[in-house]
Amino acid sequence: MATRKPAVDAVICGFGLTGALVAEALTAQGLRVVALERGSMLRTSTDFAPAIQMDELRFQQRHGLMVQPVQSTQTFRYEPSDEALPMRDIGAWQIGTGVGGSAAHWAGQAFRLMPDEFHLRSHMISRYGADIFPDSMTSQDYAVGYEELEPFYDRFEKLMGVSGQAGNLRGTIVPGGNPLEGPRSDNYPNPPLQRVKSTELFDKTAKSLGLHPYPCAAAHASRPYTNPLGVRMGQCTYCGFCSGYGCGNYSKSSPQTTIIPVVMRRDEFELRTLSVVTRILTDTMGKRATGVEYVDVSGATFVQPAEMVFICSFTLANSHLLLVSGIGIPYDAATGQGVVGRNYAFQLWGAANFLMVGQGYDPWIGAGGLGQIIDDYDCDNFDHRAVPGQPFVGGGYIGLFQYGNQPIGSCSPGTGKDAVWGSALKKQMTNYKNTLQVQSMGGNQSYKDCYLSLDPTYKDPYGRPLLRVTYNFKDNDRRMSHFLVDQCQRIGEAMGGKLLNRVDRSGSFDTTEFQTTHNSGGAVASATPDKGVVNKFGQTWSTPNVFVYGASQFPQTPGRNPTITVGATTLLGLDGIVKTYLKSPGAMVPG
Amino acid sequence: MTTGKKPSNGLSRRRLLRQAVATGAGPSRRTFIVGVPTVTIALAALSPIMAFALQPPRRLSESLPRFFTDDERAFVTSAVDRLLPADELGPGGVAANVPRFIDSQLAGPWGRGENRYVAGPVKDGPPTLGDQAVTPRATLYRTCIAALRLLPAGRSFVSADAAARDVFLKSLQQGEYESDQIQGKRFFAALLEDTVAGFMSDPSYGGNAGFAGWKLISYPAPHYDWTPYLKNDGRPLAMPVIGTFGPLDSYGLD
Repeated sequence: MATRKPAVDAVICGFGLTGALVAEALTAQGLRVVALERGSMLRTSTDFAPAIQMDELRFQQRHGLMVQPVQSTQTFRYEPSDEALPMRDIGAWQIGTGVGGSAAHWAGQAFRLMPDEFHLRSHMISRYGADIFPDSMTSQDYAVGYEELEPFYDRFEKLMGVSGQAGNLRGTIVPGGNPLEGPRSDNYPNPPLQRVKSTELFDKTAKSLGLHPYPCAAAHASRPYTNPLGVRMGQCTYCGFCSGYGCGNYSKSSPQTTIIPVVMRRDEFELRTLSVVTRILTDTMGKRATGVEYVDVSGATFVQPAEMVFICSFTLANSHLLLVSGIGIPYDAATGQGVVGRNYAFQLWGAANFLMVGQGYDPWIGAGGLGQIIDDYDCDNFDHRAVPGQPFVGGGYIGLFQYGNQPIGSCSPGTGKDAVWGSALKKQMTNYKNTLQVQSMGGNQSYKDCYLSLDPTYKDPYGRPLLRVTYNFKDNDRRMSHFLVDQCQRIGEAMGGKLLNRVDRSGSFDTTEFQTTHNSGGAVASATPDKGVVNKFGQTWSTPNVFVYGASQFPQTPGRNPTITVGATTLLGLDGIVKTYLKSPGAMVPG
Repeated sequence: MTTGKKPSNGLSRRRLLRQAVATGAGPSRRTFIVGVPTVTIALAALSPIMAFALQPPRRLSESLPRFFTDDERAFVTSAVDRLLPADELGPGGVAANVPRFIDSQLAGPWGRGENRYVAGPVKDGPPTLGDQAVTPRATLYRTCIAALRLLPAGRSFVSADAAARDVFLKSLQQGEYESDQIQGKRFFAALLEDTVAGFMSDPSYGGNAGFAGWKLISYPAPHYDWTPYLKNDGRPLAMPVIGTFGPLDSYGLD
């Protein structure tokens, strides 16, 4: 028998980045808000202290901040006709758990999307003709455009204390920044991180090739900073423990370092950790959510009634919760009808690795966002007809990052029959100081037969079906990845590097190899109800008091990192809720 | 490393003191209580700093849990000795205490596979869909070593010379010993992965003794603030290696 909790105005499922933004915006309006988080409380002072976090084995190798498969995982298959198998270990992606979610362990690369990205489909068709889109490709325009989102990008960057250099300030090109970016209403709140020998080399080489390098915007404070909520951040010390770790120096932007300290002090707010939301409850007609059901760490079941329900989990869990709760019509790949789980996409990370003979670097020094980037091969910044072979849709950034390379990960012997061992492995390990990587973050288009659904066989610890991922790389995206890695190789060789190996996506998706955590789609934001789950405010078309935030809104994966756009789209949605929905609850966009 | 040598005969003064002040659970607790007055008297004449220097912490690895039987430990030690051999580049995996690292990792929740999704049905799939076996890593070591030791090459592995052990490990890696009892390729991959992790992780986990792994690659250990070194440009750093527990002496006498 479930224990019924006192009703509140809003309940938030998942207390990571989007959940913290929702809690801040609504409590500022005086609403009573409860957030339910499956993981533990994680504090900078006690959980992320440097002496705790600077431990590669515990956090990077054993995934100390990630949700473990025993708690939550997915099944995976390549084709709708295949039987899916469970992902029994953490592999291709690493999803956080606990307060802060994946925004506690993220690297901190703080990209805006290119203006063209928001209307990719219509732009590509107008320039190249409809033939460039295969019939199976279901990529579509975003529900918002760059100009509409720009004020929220600006707000979010100031909230996060992003360090970078504007390249286009209100239409004027600014030296040192990215000349290809969309117009910005303001510069970044902090100057870029300091460069190091490796990023200087990339910068110099890219310029010599006629490309347009700029410092990656980084969600690490390059100087002491106080954000608009009054939360103070410390200056980054380049310790190199960012991606996979919590920042103990209050430098990396996370919900902990930017929003949560304010929200936790508000009387209207309550956080319940170790509380897993098992389903959203709806009225008998299914048109209105009445609250959520959740299970606490003792196994006891509770009902939390609420006027509004916010699904703020990670991309995959957002679709899962919608599907197990019967919110929205599940996508059917055979007919193309239905929306929940539609347009799931991953990302095609690629790289070329180089031995820099006679050179030495300091690979332990770094920050997750410390890099030099070019956007010359992202979006439609290059003529897609001029690429060798058949043209493709998409692109991505190329860059050189000095993240802070830790010793276990840097000394990997490889896998399978080709793995190196013996004295040869020790010799290979000694390349640690003179190896550089040029990487690309290739976007990923969406396809009719790549989607999320419920698995008929495998269950989670609460008896619910696991989420089933049906996905593989497609020829369009493989060609794009190959092209991008060709450019990585060209730049790296011009840097004086001797090619060690390439990582491009010529074969099938490998669930065991970590690539990136950037999953998108499944609960897409769309202009019309037949093309997505939510409108541009994150409000579900089917159930107007249920809202969904995160990269689940993206209709395909862009060629850059998602977090800043996740923050900006959430702020845009919340702005609409405060201005419109709270005054007159109901559908905010006519369906 | 001189501090790494155990007294060859009798008990050195250092060892006496170390036993007297041994901390931790179990029988040593009693020793500790009984030993206190003696140590107090013995050290009373020394300055506090000198007394501290004469009481190095006890061997860290003694407090780590164990999984291996003697036979298993001997097998893994012989393998680690070839996967990361001592050579002209410096100490190998055995001197870095890697077998002890693997032993303690397998004894814990990770070795027992408590983080994995192990619900059935268990079915085979392509390797790119991940390891579908629900056998914990510790069990993989145990069953494979036991089955390999029943083979002639496996039985003589521990006493074989380096060249013969290399041939055996290469065959294991290439899948030549696969059978119902032996998941040879999976076992080899685990052994190699764990050997590298033991060589390169913080010594508080039992391996990387004397910072052997980190010294091989000139890794200076985690540091809180690298800001003064942003323009170091890859030059050698003149600083002692300091791990989670501090400098080498803080890790005991491993």
